[in-house]
Amino acid sequence: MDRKLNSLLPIALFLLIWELVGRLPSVPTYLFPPFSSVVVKLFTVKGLLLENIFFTLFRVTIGFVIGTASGITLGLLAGINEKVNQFMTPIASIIYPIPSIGWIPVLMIWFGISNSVPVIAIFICSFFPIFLNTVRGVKDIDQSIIYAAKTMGTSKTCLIRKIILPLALPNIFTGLKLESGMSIRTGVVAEMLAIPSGLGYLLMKGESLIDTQLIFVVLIVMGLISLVVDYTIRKVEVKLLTWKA
Amino acid sequence: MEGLKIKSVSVGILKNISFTLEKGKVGVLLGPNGAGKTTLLNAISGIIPAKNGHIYLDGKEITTVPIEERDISYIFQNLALFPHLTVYENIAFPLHIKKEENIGKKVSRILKKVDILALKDRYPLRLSGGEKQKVAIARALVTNPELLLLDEPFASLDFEMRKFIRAEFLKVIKEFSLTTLIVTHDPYEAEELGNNIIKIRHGKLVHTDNDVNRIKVRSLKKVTKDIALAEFDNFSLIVPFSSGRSDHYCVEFLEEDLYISSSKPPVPTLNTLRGKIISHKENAERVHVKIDINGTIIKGHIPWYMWHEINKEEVYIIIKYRGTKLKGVNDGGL
Repeated sequence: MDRKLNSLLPIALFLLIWELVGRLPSVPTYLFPPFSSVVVKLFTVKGLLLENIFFTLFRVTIGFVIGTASGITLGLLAGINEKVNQFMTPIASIIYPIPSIGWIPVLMIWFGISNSVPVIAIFICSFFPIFLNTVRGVKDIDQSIIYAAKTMGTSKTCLIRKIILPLALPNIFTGLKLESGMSIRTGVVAEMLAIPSGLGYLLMKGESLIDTQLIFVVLIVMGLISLVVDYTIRKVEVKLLTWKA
Repeated sequence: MEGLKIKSVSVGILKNISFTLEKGKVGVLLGPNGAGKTTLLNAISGIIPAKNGHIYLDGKEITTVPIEERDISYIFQNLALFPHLTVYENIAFPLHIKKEENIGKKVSRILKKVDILALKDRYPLRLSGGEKQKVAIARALVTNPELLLLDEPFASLDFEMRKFIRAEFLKVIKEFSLTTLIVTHDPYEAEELGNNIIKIRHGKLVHTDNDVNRIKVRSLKKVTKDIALAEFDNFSLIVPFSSGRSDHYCVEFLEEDLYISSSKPPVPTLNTLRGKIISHKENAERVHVKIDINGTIIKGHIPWYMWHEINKEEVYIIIKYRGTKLKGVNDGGL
């Protein structure tokens, strides 16, 4: 209880300072609204906000799930098969450092204004780190564990399902935790540039109407979504990796 | 195992490895680090392929059988427990793979047998070294394999724990009558563990217990403080003598400490005997022979290129003085 209070106190203090600064006569409300007015705005635009949260989450989920699933699958394959690894890893190592938002202009040229742009950008954002982390995770498995399973008569698919994948999970979760927040950020940026819907679109709308209250509402929502996603991933990690605790 | 040749990155090439391990016996592969012991176990288990030669398990050749299909349990030096599975799940794993019935009953039985029932829900990371050892042994035994391989399984334990676990292990092995091949670099451990010690050095088999000649001494006379005359039924040998007493003795010497020739040594030589070859068996490098010395049969070998020069009816055998070992029969040694 004390720990929870200790972590809530700085947040409360931060919001109080925000409120006080926003109420200073020298600070125009349209530039820096007080926290209370942002909360009021949140309830005013509730419907619009929920609709756009849905769009963003939908795109992020699709891109992130496809990126993660294919990253894990190909990562496992490359981790097991040296030829696939030699082909895939150099390519992934070159593409991985490129910021995923850097792909948005070219995606807009290729796909126009459509859902594909944020989805593909999120896919790129999540695929490569998860792929590389999965390969590392498989390579880090003690070979004697693999051989021990083989001498027991374990088939290849069973070996992957029951031994390799579970033991690569710690590395996979490192990739997931790194990239979940980044995927949300990439999705929002893609929406700002390419799509008239989603949280990114609301941010651009706030900017064009000089509605800083709306911008702050969207920023708070983005922060909360990232927090919930990160918390969920950590919870799943703890559940799946009890053996490491 | 016959004429096995294995190529390994760490120890180079293992050549012409041949030995037999009787069903239900414990064999010990003894040799220094880098001798090729683990490589040999890896070849038997199927982890690395044999370049030449044959491996038989219970009469069936398994040289080219895939690793998954050999009925062999392997306890690795680091034990290779599955860290993400509980003790119970680790032991049940091979049974699930083999789709066996009554898995729960079988696992409980072995858990009780090696005294780790209380640990069944723990993960390997939360076990002590000795507990992990027991889990690895239980997992290896639960499927009742044709052959059990162990690669220095007690190396990571301290002296007291090693002694205790080794004794427990031998008890269980005896109970299961498992054919077992254990790797060790510790000669004392080898003596304690094995019915059959197979020495390996620089990728070559030095000898197995099958290569040892062991002759019961009829009477023993001390010549000096360090030398004794061991008398047999129809001949005698001069052998090194160390302190100690026993009621009965035997003299041991390896095949490789015998020199066999058709001609009498030009000068009188210590421990020279005369006999005749009563049987022989050829392989790629040498001819293994049995020699009758006035009714006592000893084993030896002759390089194949010398074989045609040998007069089988009359051969001279020189037994190296330094190669002979006097052993007490009653007390197991001097």
